[in-house]
Amino acid sequence: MSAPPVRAAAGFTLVELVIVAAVLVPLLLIVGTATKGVSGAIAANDRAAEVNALEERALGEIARVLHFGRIGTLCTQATAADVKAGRAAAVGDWFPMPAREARTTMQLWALTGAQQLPLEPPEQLCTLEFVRSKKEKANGLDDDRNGLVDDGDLRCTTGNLSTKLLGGVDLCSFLLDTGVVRVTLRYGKPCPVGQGTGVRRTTLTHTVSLRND
Amino acid sequence: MREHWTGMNATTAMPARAAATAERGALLVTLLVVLVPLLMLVAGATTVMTGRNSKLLHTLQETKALLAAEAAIEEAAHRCNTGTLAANVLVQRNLGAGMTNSYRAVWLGTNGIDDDGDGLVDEQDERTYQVFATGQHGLATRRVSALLVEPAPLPTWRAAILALGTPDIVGKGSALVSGFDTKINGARASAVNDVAGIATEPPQNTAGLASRYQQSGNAKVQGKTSFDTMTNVYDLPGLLASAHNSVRNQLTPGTFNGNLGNALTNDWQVSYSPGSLKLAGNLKGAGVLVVGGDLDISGSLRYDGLVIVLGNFKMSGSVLVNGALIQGTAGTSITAVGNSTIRFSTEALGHIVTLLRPAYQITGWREIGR
Repeated sequence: MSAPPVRAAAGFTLVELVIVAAVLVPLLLIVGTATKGVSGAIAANDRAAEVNALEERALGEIARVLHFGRIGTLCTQATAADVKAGRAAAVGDWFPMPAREARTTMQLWALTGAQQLPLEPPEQLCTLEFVRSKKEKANGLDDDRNGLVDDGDLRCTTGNLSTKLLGGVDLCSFLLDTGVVRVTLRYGKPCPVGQGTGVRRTTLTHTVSLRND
Repeated sequence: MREHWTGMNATTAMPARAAATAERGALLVTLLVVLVPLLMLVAGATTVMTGRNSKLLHTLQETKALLAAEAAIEEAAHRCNTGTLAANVLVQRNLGAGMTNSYRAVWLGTNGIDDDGDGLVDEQDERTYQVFATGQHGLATRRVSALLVEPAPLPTWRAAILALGTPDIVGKGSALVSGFDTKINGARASAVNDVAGIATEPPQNTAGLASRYQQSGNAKVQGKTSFDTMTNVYDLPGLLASAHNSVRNQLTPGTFNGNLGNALTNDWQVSYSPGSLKLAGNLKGAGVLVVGGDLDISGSLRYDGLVIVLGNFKMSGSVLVNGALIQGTAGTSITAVGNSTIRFSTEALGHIVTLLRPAYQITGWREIGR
């Protein structure tokens, strides 16, 4: 007579389950907390990177316009102070850009890549300007309550085509200094709903040498 | 003992195997529960970082490729100045760290084409290399073109004003344009070197030049003849290349109120403004003044030497230019009013020869076919 085969116990014993739960619950809590923290950090990092990337792309476009521009054609729009100083006849007139003075507008002729007469390379008029939002006034206040003060768009007009390079700009300056132009941009973007409060700001400064006279 | 152990094995073998099977399942579940979120985290972070790195790498490569292309242009210019640039030869360089560049220069001076659209083929002012350069780094490629302008000597003087385009010329009040050779101190020099008042260059002619002159009051254009035409086209871009490489005063376009040298103290300087310039007041200057745009001079300014203006020219008040003036082809007007004077002076022009350094000028930078 041989003994009947012993059937293996199905499932886990209560002790096993308790032990596994005792080990896994704290582990899962740790992992969950870490996941939440890391996700938040990644999201914040992403926002910062996005803000940076947008600003860098705008600066890249500006650099492309300026790099092959003719420095001798560089102009800026006259303010009331310029008119008073006798530099221009009326506010808004374009006049040669003074050195070492930060401006918010700039216009110049830049060489295009078109291949026509080699010694008469085609040029196009390019305008870079900071256009303040219609809801904002230059009063140092956040009039439109978007978290940005006196903000607006940075626009680039080449020929007849006008494009917005960057919105949410609350500082934009172009400064001419012996053959180079220093561009400073401060760009801000409010945090998305549910991802904190406040505005993520980045300030970038880029120096571009103008290659042509 | 052996039998006892064997007996024990026989009775406990089956339950032990069953328990082991159950534990294997628990391990898998545990691993999945713990590892899956971890793996998701790692995967998410890797994706974000990889994407960002890839964008950054692309931007970096684009910038480096542009720098490599520009380095090729600089090398071509250096070779020009050392006389070792060969036309129509592809030069390739490995710059290291994954960067390469190449360039090919085309000599426009003898290519049988009207490269500047003035109706003339291979004239003096076409003596230029056009360089096509390519820079590469990683997957990025940028192409840049530039012109290397051959330097040219001063012209054989034919007039006090050499107008290379077709400007409207206005003389009002007591303005004077004189081709009679005058010394720096104002004394009359030998008549042997006298020239015309105003001259132009082919394809323009003397009759056309005279027809564009409007005179009123006591304004006068005088000299060996009032108007004349040069025998050959003058290479102004070449002279600009020399002047550009010899600049001492880099002027910002706009209004300038300082002195630019003084002939009376033997202080001769090359001054350059890439754009339009206004000079006003009791100023002094001597040497070569190059203005890339319009030039408006007024007050009691005195300038000895050569004034080169690529745009429109206007002088008023009691301005005195003692030497010569050259206006580029883009200039559309020359206006002299009040008591202003331009008078020819071989003595003043003799001082500027040593100021100009003959070197190729890089101009016409542009990006092509990105």
